[in-house]
Amino acid sequence: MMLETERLCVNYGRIVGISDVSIRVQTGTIVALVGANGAGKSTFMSAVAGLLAPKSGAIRFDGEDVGALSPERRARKGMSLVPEDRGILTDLTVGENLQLARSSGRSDPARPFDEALARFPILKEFWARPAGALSGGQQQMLAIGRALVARPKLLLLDEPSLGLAPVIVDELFAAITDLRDAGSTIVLVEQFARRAIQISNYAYVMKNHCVVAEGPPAKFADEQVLNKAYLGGEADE
Amino acid sequence: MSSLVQGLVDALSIGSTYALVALGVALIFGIMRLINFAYGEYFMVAAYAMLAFDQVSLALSFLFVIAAVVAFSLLTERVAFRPLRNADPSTLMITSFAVSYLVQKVAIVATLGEARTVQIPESWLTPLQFGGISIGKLEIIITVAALAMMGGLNLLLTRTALGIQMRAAAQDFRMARLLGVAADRVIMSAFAIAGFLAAIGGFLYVAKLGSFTPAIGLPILLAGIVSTVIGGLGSLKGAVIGGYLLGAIQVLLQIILPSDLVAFRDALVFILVIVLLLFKPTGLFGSYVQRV
Repeated sequence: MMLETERLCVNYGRIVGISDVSIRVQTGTIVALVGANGAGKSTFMSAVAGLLAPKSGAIRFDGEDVGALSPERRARKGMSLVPEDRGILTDLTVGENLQLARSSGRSDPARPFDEALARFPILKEFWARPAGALSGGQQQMLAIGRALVARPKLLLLDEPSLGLAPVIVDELFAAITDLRDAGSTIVLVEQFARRAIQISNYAYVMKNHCVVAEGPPAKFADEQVLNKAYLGGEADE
Repeated sequence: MSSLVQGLVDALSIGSTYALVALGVALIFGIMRLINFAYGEYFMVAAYAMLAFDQVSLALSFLFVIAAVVAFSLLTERVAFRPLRNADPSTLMITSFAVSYLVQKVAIVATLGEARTVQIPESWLTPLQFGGISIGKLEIIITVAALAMMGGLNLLLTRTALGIQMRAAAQDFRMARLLGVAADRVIMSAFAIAGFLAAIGGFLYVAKLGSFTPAIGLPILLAGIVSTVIGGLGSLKGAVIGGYLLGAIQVLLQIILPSDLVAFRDALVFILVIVLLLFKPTGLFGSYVQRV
């Protein structure tokens, strides 16, 4: 088990962020986390990565309780969050953004950038350019490429397709599937629920800060099941 | 001609001192969003540290000042600012005021507020002669030292892993941490470098003054903050340019103002700064806008 949360609750002051979220992510799988805006998906991802402190509940990463660790400690243990805004450091060059990912101390000491550059050759071409000059799609490639330099055990992707042209989204989903097939473990938060579930090994649907449905992709193959989960209540078993 | 060259050298050396202070202020602000009003006291610590060995050896005195100010800078980070790291910028700023007052009052009590004199090698004070034009040697030392440190800082920030981490943290601290950048290490590095800049800047500034009181830090801090505001808070390049600009304006006003108006020089400087901010509220190179 790569990641397991147990009855995880996070509050923003008095406002509930997520409530009792229990999720299990098997090693080498893609787990999709879908739901409407404001359901608590990003809050969940931030809590797992250490940006938000849980009010209660547990986060176990690769068998270890990491709930009290700082974000950088979790990164060093092999967690890599690509946040919704991608977190591109626009004042730095593309190359510096990639070099920064070596801070986790997990990258290949001899050939740290090979995998990222092989997967996204454009990053090599734009190596010396300011990252702020990249287009949205290129920035997303940089964000994922940067995560690859860190060679994470667990990749947390928060809305990677946000704001991208459809053709780029196709490439992106292909890249995510490739990564899983190469052995990576991925949690994928997506607005394109159907597509995310299709490439996943298991999916969770969140609504109003809680998980309201879960199951393998086959369970959601019927349009009705997903719609029902989105609209409310537990989908039928 | 002679007075023109001397004016230029004065502007460069004063500007260099301001630029060093402004860099220290900007570096810490960039990473922590802290406007460190205690930074003037780093210069005061440098001044008192000079007294320890100034009669013994210049080199020893110099090294001791660096060690003392860097240690003091790290101490303020550890004791005063680290516990408040996630507090909002105004809380941090007020804390820095408290640190400033505390340290300054301790110095006043310990020295009864009396002025102290430092021993400077005679050779530093004899002006250099260039075909009838005499230029202060210390002014040249200050300018060269400041430029060397800016060059060194630039190399550190662009060519080393630590430098890239520091620039990343200055832009987006949260993302830097997500990539594994250790928050403590980056912040302590910024304070250590700011302390180093204050040590060198303070050493040379005090050498030029010859004597000082516990209040030595205030004017220099003010100049540093004004420089960073002119250049744009958060921009290191802006801090340097703001420092030189402020130095140049001060020297220029000193020269062109009629003698009975010289007393109002700084008032005029601040009016110019206000006018600049009216047209360019973020300073010349700044992009920082207070996030609400």
